[in-house]
Amino acid sequence: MAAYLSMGEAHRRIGDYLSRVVDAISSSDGAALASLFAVSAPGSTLLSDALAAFPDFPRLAGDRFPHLADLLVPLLRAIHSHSLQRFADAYSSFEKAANAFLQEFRNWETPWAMEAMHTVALEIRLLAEKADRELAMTGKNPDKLQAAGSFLMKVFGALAVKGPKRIGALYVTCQLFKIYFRLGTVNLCRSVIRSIETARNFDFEDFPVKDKVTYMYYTGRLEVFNENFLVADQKLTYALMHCNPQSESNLRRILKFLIPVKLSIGVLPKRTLLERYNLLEYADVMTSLKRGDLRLLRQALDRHEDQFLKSGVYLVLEKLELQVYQRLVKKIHIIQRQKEPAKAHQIKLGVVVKALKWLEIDMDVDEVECIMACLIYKNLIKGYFAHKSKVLVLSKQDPFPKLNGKPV
Amino acid sequence: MDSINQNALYYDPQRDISVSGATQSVTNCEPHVVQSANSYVPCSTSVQHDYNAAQYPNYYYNYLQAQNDSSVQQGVGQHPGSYVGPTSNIYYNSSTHQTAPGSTSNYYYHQNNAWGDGSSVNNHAQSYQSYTPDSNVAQSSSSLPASSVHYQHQYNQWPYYYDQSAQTSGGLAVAGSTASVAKAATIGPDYVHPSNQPPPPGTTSWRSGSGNTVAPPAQAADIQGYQNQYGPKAQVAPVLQNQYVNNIAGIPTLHNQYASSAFQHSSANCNQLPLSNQADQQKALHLHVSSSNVSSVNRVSENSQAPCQDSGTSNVHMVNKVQIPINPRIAPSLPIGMPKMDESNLEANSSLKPAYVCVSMPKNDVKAAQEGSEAVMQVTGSFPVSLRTYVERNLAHCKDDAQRTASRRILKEIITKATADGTLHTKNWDIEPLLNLPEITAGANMTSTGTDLSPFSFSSSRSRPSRRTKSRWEPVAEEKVTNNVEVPKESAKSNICSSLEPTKRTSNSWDLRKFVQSRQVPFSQCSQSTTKKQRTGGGASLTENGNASSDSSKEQDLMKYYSSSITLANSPEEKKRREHRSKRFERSQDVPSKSGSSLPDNDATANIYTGLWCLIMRCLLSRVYETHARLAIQSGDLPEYSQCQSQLKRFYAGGLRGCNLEFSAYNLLCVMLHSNSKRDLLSSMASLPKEAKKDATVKHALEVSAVSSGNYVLFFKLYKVAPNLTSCLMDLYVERMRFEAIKCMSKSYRPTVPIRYAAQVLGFVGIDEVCETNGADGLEEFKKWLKAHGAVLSVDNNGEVQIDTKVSSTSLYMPEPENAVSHGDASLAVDDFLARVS
Repeated sequence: MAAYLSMGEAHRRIGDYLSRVVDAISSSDGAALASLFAVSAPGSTLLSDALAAFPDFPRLAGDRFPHLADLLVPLLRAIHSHSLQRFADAYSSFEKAANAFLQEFRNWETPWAMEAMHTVALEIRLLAEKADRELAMTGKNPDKLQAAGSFLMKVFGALAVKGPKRIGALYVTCQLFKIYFRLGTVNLCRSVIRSIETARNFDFEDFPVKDKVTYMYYTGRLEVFNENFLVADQKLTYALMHCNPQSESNLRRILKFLIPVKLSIGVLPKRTLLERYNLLEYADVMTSLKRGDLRLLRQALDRHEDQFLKSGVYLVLEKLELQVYQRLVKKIHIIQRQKEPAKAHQIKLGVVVKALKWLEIDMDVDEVECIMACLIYKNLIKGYFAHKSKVLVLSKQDPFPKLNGKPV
Repeated sequence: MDSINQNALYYDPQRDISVSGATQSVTNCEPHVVQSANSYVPCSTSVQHDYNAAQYPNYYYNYLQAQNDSSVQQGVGQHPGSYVGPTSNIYYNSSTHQTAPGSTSNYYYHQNNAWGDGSSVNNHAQSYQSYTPDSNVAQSSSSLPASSVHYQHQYNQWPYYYDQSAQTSGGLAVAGSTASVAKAATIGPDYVHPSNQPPPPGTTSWRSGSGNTVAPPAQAADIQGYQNQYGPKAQVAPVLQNQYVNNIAGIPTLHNQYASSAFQHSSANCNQLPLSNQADQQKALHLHVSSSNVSSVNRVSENSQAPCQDSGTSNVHMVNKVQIPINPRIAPSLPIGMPKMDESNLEANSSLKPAYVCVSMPKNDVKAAQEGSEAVMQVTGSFPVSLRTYVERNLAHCKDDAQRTASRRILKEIITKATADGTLHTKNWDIEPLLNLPEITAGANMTSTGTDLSPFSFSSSRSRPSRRTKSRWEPVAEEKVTNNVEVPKESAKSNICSSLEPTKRTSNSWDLRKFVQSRQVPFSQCSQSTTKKQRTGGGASLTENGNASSDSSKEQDLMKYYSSSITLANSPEEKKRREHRSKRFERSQDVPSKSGSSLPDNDATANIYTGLWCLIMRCLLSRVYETHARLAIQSGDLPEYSQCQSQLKRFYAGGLRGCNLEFSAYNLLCVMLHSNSKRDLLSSMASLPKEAKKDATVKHALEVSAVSSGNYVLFFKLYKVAPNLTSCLMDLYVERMRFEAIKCMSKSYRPTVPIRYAAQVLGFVGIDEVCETNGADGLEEFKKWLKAHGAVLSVDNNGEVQIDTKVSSTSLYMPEPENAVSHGDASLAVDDFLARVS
């Protein structure tokens, strides 16, 4: 239909768009401006048709609003390129426009345009992702997302200052996290986090809830990577508690990391939870912890290896092995207590080896002995090991201490 | 026609063995992918001196090097070059050198193979007789229509030696060199490592042991040298290392000289590299250049040297020996400004030097003739007459007084040296290549061999580089050569490392015979020898650009550079090359051989060259990085390693295979053991392809990672069976693991743990070593270790030493590492600094 659009109509639509942008700026209407910046939003087809029919739009914009030409011209170009599915071009143009806008934004004392700024931050990330996909398809170097990251750092610098604009900083931070996680450069998160968490003049709780939840989710994941399970638990729990309960997919994403963290500190979820959020990949892991079934744990890890590796919880789950051993020894202890109460606290190594053999785990005596030593060393078992007699001697009191929220 | 022949060089293991008892030649006789098979003529002990360069439209050279001493035969390199010019045949007779005991004389045997046009030519099977192990270099030379190109393809490798067959056609040679480098790494004590050697484009073969000491490490140097050479070459065609001087197209051909002669360390060779190249090389040698490629190379070389006894001196020698003949055409581009004269000179030299492969680039200077032939040198007896004529010949080539003066000086040195060596009479001066003026050097020679004069000889390989096919003494010939377009091709070379392992590990041979021909092929070659060390030896060749990644762009740059210097029109080539590469290989030999000028007549040829060259560059680069990485692992230099790893990642991502599985295993281990970031480990694990998990090394690495958190028993079990260089990486973790383990034992065992048991599970004593004598050392060591870490020992009733766990659990500590400073560099210690300041 673009083909049938008359030049006059196209001219009118473009002019209309331009004047709305200028009006929004002059009237400090952040919401209106934000909607106008939504390049990838579906609502802009009318405009893009007009742009297609009126190729001379850059001059139109430049002539009519010369003082905003830096912003408007690349913005129109970006919309135009985007409608043509030329995302790399669209990204480049949009970045120019965004830079121009950031320049203006810095000069505005009030944060009225925060919403528009956030839209810009979101759009630039989305565009960069599309552009990178396009570049990768054509065999070029997909570097736009990285460029978007640098741009957002600039935005963050403009926002994370004293004053009213700071409230918008967390949103940009979250966009940055998304970029860094996607790029695999999570170490870049650190500086941003430091800037957020060390600020004395701004309470974290004052940020908008949605940003806080997102922030906690990402920082919680970072802590999982670092194996700081207590902190991770705390952050992810915060995110879970404050997350919109209607947003099942977000809850699921949080749980996906929270469950392994909880497992590693000895807290098992109910199976219904796993079912409800479709996290059944953890079901076998959970069962193996309950039963002391090492084979099951290994099978589960093997079966979902790709998934676990991708989400980054593989190593966390792998570490559950010691807990499984603990459970196994505990079961042996319980059985022994029933059969032979006098020697309940002395577990012969041979028995453990035999149990493992039943599980088809092939370990020799030395290895099992080593495992027992590790269990004692890591406080999963209270007692000692007598090498001479190859006997694990359990403490009479609470030989299998619970983790109770402490990581192994 | 570009026939690319890859000659595989095979080493005879046997020979190798014979040479040095200690070294075992690696036997990988893997035929190289080379299309052309070269037949080796095994040279029996008898020395064969002949160098025949027949000019065939395609030239084949077979070089056989026989070492007198060991009666080692070097593989014959066949050069399937297309030599057309009838005139071009050169004979080199290398008489055997009488060498110092250590020295071996190499004989080159050149067989000229005529190329059949068409495919037949391409495939030359080289039959190597006894050589199994080694690599070979397959060199394929493509002969361009112009007849002039000579390729020397075959390298003979002694078991000890690494052969690098450098395949000199431009890039190719590089690859070869890399291979050799790798091999070089494994150096037995016997080896002299000429680590510093400028990398010959070709690879160098090292001999260890008997006179030829080729230092594998040298390869690194080679690489550099290579780079130097390449710069000009960029254009293209892969030049093979062998010294083919004749590059027709202006493509610089590298000659590999096989220096049959062994280098002796003691002898100093002074090569003077007049050219800037020398300077570069030297820098490279002496300085570690931080610059990316170079630096890496250097380090490699260094590392390699370490094992070598006299690395320093040897290096020098090596350097000297390396000759790089520069192609006249190339010359313009070279800063050095070499006179264009030298056509005839091209080959010269290499023969003498034992291990070297010299790559000679045809140089301008006529004079420059290389003396590589020296190697050949073996005796010709007539001292006065032949020497005199030789001198005259050299002087005759001088264009002006300055040259004459220079050559006189050089000749004087040569003669002096020869006299000193006692080779004066033994040398066949007739064969002696003319001096290359610019570079001139006296390659001093190793005692065993004659000196190499060729100015640039980069690597010394055992086998001499093939001489230039043309007689050096014909000045006229050179022009032809230059005119001709040559396409050197490379063949893959395989290097074999003889494995002398300095270290415990068994050695291995490198096989670097990869042929560059097809991309796929390139890396696969590396045979991974079981031993770690040898691996490291692999030669790396550097390309000018350090980065592998930048294939195309760099190549293009090089191309431009090259093309500018050379009139050839290369331009379109690159693009096509890749797609058609394989096809081209096959076709090609038909090129009409014209004796005189030949430019590549068509784009296709040029494309082929370019394609080959690019391919080679990439392959070589990655090989270089692999070698460098291995050396870094062996020396425990993780930061260095991770730099290489990141480069390698890019190579592998680009589709090069190489030893990617092995390196992904190293990467895994490195990340899991030495990085605190679990995320890195995760991403490394996640990025492992499915098939990688089936690889033994990778599997092992994954198992190690699984137990690194505590299961010390399994850890040390895995440590004992660690494949490849994995154990080197694990080495770095062993101390921590043991300490963790002893802490764990102290806490969990009561009342005591027998140290015999602990020593066993902690890897101090072999599990199966029941034998008291074997166990005793380990126990003693373990006791010392325990004491150093604060453990308390006691003796029980039976007289067995026990660890008193209860007491020990509170007294254990990690001893401060000696020389440790918080910032990691003891030389930057503040105290020390202040002390100095005050």
